[in-house]
Amino acid sequence: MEKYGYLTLKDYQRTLISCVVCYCGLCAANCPAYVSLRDEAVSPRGLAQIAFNVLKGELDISKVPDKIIYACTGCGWCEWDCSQNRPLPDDLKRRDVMISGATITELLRSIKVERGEVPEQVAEALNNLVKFGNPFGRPAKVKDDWAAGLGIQANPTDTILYVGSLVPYDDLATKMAEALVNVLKRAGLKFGMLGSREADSGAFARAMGEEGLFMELVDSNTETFKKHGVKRIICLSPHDYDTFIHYYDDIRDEIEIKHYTQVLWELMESNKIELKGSYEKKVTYHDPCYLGRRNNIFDEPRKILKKIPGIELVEMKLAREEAFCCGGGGTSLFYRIPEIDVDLRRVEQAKETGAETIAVACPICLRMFNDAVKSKGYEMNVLDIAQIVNEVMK
Amino acid sequence: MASLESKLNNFIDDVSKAIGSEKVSTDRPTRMCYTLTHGPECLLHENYIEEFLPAVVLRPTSTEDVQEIVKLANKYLVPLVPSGGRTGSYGAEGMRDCAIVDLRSMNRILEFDEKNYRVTAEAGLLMADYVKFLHERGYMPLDWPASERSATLGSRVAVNGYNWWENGWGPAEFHVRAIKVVLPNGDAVKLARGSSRPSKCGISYNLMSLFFGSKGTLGIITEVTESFIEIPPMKVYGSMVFADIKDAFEAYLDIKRPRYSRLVWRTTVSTERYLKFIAPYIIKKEWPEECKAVVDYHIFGEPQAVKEMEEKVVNILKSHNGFERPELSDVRAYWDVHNLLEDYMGLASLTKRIKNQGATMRMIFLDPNIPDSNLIAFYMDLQRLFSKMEDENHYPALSQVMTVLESGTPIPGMEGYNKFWVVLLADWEKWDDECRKEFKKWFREYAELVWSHNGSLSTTHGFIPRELEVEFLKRELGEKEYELMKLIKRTLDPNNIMNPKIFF
Repeated sequence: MEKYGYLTLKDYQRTLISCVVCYCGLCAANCPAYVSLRDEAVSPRGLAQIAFNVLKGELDISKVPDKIIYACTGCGWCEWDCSQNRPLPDDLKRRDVMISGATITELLRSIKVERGEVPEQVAEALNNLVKFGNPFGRPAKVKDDWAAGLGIQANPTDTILYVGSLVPYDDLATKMAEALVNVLKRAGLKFGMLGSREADSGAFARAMGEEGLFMELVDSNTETFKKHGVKRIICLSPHDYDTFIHYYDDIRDEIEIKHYTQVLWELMESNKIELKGSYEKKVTYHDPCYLGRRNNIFDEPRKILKKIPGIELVEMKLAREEAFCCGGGGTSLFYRIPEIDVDLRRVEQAKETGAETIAVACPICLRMFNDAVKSKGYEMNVLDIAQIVNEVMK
Repeated sequence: MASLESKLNNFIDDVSKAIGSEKVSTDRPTRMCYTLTHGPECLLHENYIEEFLPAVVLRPTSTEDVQEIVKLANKYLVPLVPSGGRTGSYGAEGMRDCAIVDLRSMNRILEFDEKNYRVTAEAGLLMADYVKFLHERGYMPLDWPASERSATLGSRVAVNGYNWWENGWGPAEFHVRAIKVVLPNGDAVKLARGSSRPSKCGISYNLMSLFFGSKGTLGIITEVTESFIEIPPMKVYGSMVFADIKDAFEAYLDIKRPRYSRLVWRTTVSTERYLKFIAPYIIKKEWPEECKAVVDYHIFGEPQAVKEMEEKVVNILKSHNGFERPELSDVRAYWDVHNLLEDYMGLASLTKRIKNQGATMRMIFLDPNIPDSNLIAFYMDLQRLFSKMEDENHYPALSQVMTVLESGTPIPGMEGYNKFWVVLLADWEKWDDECRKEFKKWFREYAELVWSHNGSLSTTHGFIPRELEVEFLKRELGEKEYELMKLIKRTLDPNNIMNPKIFF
């Protein structure tokens, strides 16, 4: 019953026990869901107890409130701070117990999917992913027209820019993608796009617990990449990057996967990006969880920003590995627990630095912070790094 | 007479109206999350979930909310169990049909009185946030727990928490200057010495002291005022190796003397078992058999004073036959592990690695308070008691499920006494009724040993198997003191609603 793709809740039994018997609670300190709700049940430590009791048959998952199952944003803080994952001096990079609030909630969400007990908004987004390849239910062909409008034929080449399923349906993500396309073109990079053949990487499906759909998307995308001879994928979104890197086993050795900030930095280092103007502002950079904490990409975005004339880069108190989440991961773009105000808290942290601009490297962070800044009434810009680079290249 | 169920339902309805239903959880999954703490009591109950399952979880956001909760609990006779970071090892487990009062939504810093070195904050403030707040302003707290990333300010009072720098500064009760507490009748009262903040006052009883170590049995602490200091300009850390455990203890006792304690904020003796466990992470090989102990020290203060004190400490260590071994001399690595283990709560990272498949090992902390005069003798006797526990002829069941991780690290407590840090690992998966029986029997032997050395069963963690608690408290306190404690409890809490599962 507790199927989870290749794995089941039972496969995590020892890891769950490990958490239940340890019970140190370090996972909760900066857990966005816990910090917002102050509710033990949404903390990773609490989730481990709940999952363990579901596994033991002590708890019926139908009786677990949606607030508990859908609060996690998948930021990975708990995994990073877990005392059992904590590295000792001789193995500083080691993470050998890969369990997190995200993993637990994805496992619980998958059981909910199997039982057909998912919230309406999640069900709708999942149906759209099945029918249209994007969670918004918009025709895939729109992507061909959008790419054509940018002067790019939807013909894959060795290198493709993978814009993900928010583009061109979310206006901010679309602007970010357009800025990146512009920068890459002017840097002379040869690349193509898949257009309507580009389906969601599976990141959304997995976060919503639709493991079957996730695996279908992995298989169909893998086939598409192979069919078109793709050798290099540049990802707009850290969520897609993370999915390709960690779950696309069949392409990992053949296709180079990059986040766009890595590519931009390579182009800057080889002087292919000419910065004609300047950006005379105090800027703080927010580390997207799926880029930073989950994939150790902290430096390239900062190097790019430091290279831009005029920028005074200031750090938030919670930065790099300790960065607080934007709140947009998990199912939050489609089904959000109203009390979780992570985005508002993060823009407050940005505001404390005195920054005029919050720079991000993720379309989801871009959406979350733009909305949050408006809600707070702050006079702050929220821009993606690609947009800032595009601005100073003009 | 109303049934228990209808009383609870009425309580939940009324409390939801009084504080807001968004602060009230009655679903079973949430309630289940409050059955466990970091402590080992759960090992002693076969069906701990049902026994410790609260009826409702409440998350007040103000002292007024807490007052409403307490008044209604009195009306409906619903037991209340206050809850902080849930990292304490005793007392915060739920109990059947109780209401958990989780104070972590009350986490604001209310006043920063820089000139008088005082901070006032709500009881649910995470200690790490408190430490960070002071650090950003060039100060540090005097009450600093190893569990700072989970523990809350109010729980420092409730358990009279151990201070990382206790040799220099003493436990939590030395630094808390005032508390606001909601008494069992619903009154909120601010307690301090004389007025809200003085550090010394001779005009009244020190009523605040009643609440240190009270573990939620006398009221719910909602605000705490603590003192702080400037961060000292210099600190040094060092260690030395010993071939004889007795020499190491003698050196430690010399270093922790009150005359040095303003500069030597901490010193410890790490003993053989623990060193063997951590050796692969420090020296990347087996710990040498001939090295029986390591004594380490932390010195804080003005640069000149620190340098002079370090010279003195090194001479003391050498005078007790302490020596340096080149391959063991990477004190930084040693401290990294030490720091990591304390910072990351109870050696979890290490236990997993030690046991490899040891994910099911639950930690049992024992921290008897042992006087300087009996320290070495107690250590030796305790090792014999561990050997007995590991001997299947004496403890056939327990010997199969218990591991001694840390067999005794003395850490200075208040002058003349020591927190004697012991960590046992219990394999939860294999734990059964026989283990329960044998553990209680072993604990009885252990308690007799502690008392025979004029010690007390707990410096901070307070763990005594609940079944033995009343008997053991009477043994430690004497009948008259225990009766006085009972009288105070009855006077303040006539309906026995405040964490009634412990002490009485």
